[in-house]
Amino acid sequence: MALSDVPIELVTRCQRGDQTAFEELVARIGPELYAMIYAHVRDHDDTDEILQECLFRLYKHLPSLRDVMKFGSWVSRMAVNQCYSQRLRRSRKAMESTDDQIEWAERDVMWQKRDPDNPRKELMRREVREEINQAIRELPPRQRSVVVLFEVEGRSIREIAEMLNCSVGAVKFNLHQARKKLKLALREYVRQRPSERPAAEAEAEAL
Amino acid sequence: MRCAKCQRMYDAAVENRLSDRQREKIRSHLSVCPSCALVWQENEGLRAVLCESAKPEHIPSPGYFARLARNAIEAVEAEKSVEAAAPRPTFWASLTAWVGSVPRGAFRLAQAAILLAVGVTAGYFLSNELRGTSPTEAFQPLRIALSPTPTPAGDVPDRLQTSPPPTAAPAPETVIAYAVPVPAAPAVAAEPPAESHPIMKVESAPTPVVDIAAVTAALQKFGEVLDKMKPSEEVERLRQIQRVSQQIQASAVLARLQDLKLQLVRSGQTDYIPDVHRIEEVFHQLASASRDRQASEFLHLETYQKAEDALIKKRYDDAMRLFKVVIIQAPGSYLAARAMYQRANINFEYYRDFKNAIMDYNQCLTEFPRHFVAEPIQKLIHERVELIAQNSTNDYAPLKLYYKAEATTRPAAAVPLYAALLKQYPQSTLIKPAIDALVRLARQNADDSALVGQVLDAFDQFQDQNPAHPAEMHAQLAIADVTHFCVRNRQQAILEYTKVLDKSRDPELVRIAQERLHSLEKAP
Repeated sequence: MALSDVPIELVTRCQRGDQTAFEELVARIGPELYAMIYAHVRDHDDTDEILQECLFRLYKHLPSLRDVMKFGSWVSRMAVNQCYSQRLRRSRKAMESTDDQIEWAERDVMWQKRDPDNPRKELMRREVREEINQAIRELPPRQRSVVVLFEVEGRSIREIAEMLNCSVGAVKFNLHQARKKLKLALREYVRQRPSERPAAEAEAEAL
Repeated sequence: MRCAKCQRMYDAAVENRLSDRQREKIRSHLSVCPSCALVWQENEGLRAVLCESAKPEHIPSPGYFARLARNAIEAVEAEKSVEAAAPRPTFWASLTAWVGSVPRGAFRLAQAAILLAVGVTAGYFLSNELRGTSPTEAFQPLRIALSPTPTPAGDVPDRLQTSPPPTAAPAPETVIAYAVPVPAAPAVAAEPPAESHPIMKVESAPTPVVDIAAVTAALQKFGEVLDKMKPSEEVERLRQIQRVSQQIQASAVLARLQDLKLQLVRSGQTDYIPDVHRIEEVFHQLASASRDRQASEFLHLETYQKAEDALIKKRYDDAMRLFKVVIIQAPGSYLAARAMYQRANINFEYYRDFKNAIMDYNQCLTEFPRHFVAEPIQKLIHERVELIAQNSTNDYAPLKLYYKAEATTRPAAAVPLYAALLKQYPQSTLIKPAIDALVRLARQNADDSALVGQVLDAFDQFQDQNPAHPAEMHAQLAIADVTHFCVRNRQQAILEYTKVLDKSRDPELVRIAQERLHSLEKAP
């Protein structure tokens, strides 16, 4: 169930304080919201924390939502902002001082296990996946939000600027920076030509 | 088309905003320019990698979402119900109940502050009896004013905590005897606790909301009383109060007056501010006369509690900032000591900034030894200081490794971290916990042969590289355990346990090995 497909009637019932309606709403949008937050923060614990906060806010502030038609964008905007601010809080200090040695110790193990002949095939292997997630987690909050919104969620630059309350130029700059860093960190996988792709990428490639 | 332009067009292409002409131009450029082609190709590759890894490995069950929904509803409803008018117990009943509900030390002090504010004012006014001012008349409005009342509509405090209304109203005399020095007690005790009194709301914050109208009226009255006094009389009153003040803390009243001032400013009733200032002045003199060392504490109590609140809500950066304010502004006080301790805890548990944590912990121990007499806290501080000091190698890398591994929820990611700790920092005091953690992970994931293999490799490597290490036999027992419980190789396990029996001098390890061997031999 996409966020925008939630029946208006369900939302208005929630606005009136109907608790069963809210439970139904969460049952419908929960999984998608979870996946969306996970795409941003790439960590199940953090996803859990942010989702809880989002649902709390959702239930608390839903009655004050004026235009019910905009429920989908309202919720996703809230989730993105939560991801952004959570990361912002943490990035100031947490773990950033973790020395490189730890990272390298962790990576060494991963590299050893890789099959150099077919890196693509094992892209989804846990370790590699963790490496990608790690690279994304290490991005500064705004860059991370922008790159996920653009590349994964397929939002336009203008839309992202509105969502994050910044200029189009800032979005472009952050996107560029994020790409640069990710390409460097994940060069092994990025250089590999994907064999199969979702329709969106195929379209761009078809140029 | 130039290369720069071609690369800039990528985003527009993804958004599908290009005209046919532009597409054609780009296509022809890409066919002749390998560097641009590479950039586009990398962008595509990155996009694919990001999209493919974006999906979580698993989505929690519907039960999980149902639970979260219930949690959210309960949290919001709880907040609402607290904000709504609370049941109104009688004044004295709620006062004693409030005193009885003992939160942390600092808040207990805040409670005392309010009690004392009532008591001192009562004493002050009652002393006027000598010169003909009716004590009850003067006292009544101020008592009401200084006792916190339910929140006026539209001015709702952020966090309140309800407490069940007390079942029976205890004797008022006991409260008064505690709060007010002897001369005042009989007069107040003679006054029956009226059921219809404005009521305080029980809450955790040390800054209860006060009925503005009552405060202003009372202050006016107080001001009139002060106006009537001659300076010499005032000095006499001050002396009287000073005698009384050996048992009370003027700073507590000052803290209370700060709140009143804040409330007046917020409600725009600034006319009464000068009155409050006059009263404040009186108590300031008192505070300086009695060398009230805790005066500074009360002024920073609010900041401290905000910091604790932030900590509870996991807003660590805010908490750190506020604790720092307390440490700087109330040096040497009990609050500063607590703030320093909490700051160290945040650094240790959350930021893993061990360097700053050990600094703060050490300072707690050296500067504030008397504040940390409580056994568990002392013990915790000592343990942590020792742990940090012993693992300070390479910018606290062993500690960071260990805690990072511990924070990792996925076993596949945790095992390499523990293994790296064993490999790189054999001198760390965290070796034994790491070995235990590895055994635990292996036993929990006994079906994952790759993981069990990694664990065994890590132990073998550790033993090879560190002969005669103090934890050598610990590792040996771990190998035996993993072989026994995860690999389920009976012969090999017996062999490994026997090694422990042969070589170990630790009676505990020997005992465990014997037990395991015993059970292995009994099994078919």
